[in-house]
Amino acid sequence: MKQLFVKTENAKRFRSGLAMLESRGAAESGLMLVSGRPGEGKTTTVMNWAAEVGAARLTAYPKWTVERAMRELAAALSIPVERGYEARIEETIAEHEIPIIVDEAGYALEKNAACLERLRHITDKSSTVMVMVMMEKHNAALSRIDQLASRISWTVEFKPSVLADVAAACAQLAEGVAFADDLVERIHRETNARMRLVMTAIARCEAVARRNGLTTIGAEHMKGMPLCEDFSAKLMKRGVLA
Amino acid sequence: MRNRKTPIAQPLLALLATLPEGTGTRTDLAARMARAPNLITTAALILRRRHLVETPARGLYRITDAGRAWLASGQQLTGRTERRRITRTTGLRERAWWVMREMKKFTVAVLLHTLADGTERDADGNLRRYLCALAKVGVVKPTARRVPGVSPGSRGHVVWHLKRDLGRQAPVCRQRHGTVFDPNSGDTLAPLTTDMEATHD
Repeated sequence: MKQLFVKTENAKRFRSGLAMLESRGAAESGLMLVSGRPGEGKTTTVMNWAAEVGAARLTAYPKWTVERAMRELAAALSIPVERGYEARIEETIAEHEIPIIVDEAGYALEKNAACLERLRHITDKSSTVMVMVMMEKHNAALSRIDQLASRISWTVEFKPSVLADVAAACAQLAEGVAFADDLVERIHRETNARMRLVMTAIARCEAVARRNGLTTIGAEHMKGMPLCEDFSAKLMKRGVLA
Repeated sequence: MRNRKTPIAQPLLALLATLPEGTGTRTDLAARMARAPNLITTAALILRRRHLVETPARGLYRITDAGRAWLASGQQLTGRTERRRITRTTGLRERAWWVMREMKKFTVAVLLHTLADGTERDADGNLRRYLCALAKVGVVKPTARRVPGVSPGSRGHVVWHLKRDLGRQAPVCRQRHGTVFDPNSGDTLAPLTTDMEATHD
């Protein structure tokens, strides 16, 4: 299996959003919200962009404090934590136009989103971009914080992958084997259109094709074989999850 | 005073949007716009930097969804560089360095999965050579653990560990001298005295 970053519809929409964000009207409205189910490729997509622009990426966690956030930001920017380090952070971000990414930003909403407010203060002054990655369930809590919500210029929702995404992933990632349409459809269905599981399914199908010397693999070759292990789907089947 | 030329990026984007599948070759676009092909390349680069067009093949340009959204929004591209535009690091090694700093432990496969989009020439070999050069000067180190690979006969992927985080800017390999330049400190890192076996995945 080839190791490539597949440009899915979600990734394209994310890039589109960034292009619009860069050309925003109000300089201080530089916030972007990325939300969606786990396993849709949010983090990989954001990292793909972040590596390109050299962003400072922070990951929020429960009980995240402003001081910890600032120390982590200093580490990401290679700024030693000493007297006046916060001012140096602000200078560096403004000088090099470094975007800030807050992964798992839902955890940063505690205590009136003090951490996000501190970061927002930095991006306001430097007119830089801040991308917040969070799960959908936190959107309501975020909308209650007016200072942040009003600055969100663009929202990208990572939707379940479409059939074309799965087909593109199969075509781009599989080595020496073509995937028949019926198998692509089955992968799309059984993985619940979750990119993380699609990758597993492609690797399994490819292994079967290689073992049997197939150049094209279809659903009939994978009959009776599981394509991936979807823990949530199993629980739903058993009635544990609604 | 700087001589200002008529910008053609915006007309080029508009032209691409009208073409079938939003795709056009360099020569075709040059003929349609009555401009030299090198000007088309320059304008296309400006558009590509903003992700408004993409290059599916050499000399071929295609408008992206972002490009169409741009046109639909009625925004105009100006000839000057806007203040708010984020500087982009385009080199694979620079991008890989960013991921290495983030992850601390990584495999070449993980780097490729995050960064490579298939347009790079020998991305795999490029990163391996880079890692080996960094390992020689003690910036990264291969761990004893290997992650199983999917290819038949694969010995697995080496798990690398970032030993020394040099800073935001990616270290540069100086192949001729066998050294690594650290742009963060301005130091040149020489190979470690203890011989290190180059590890291959």
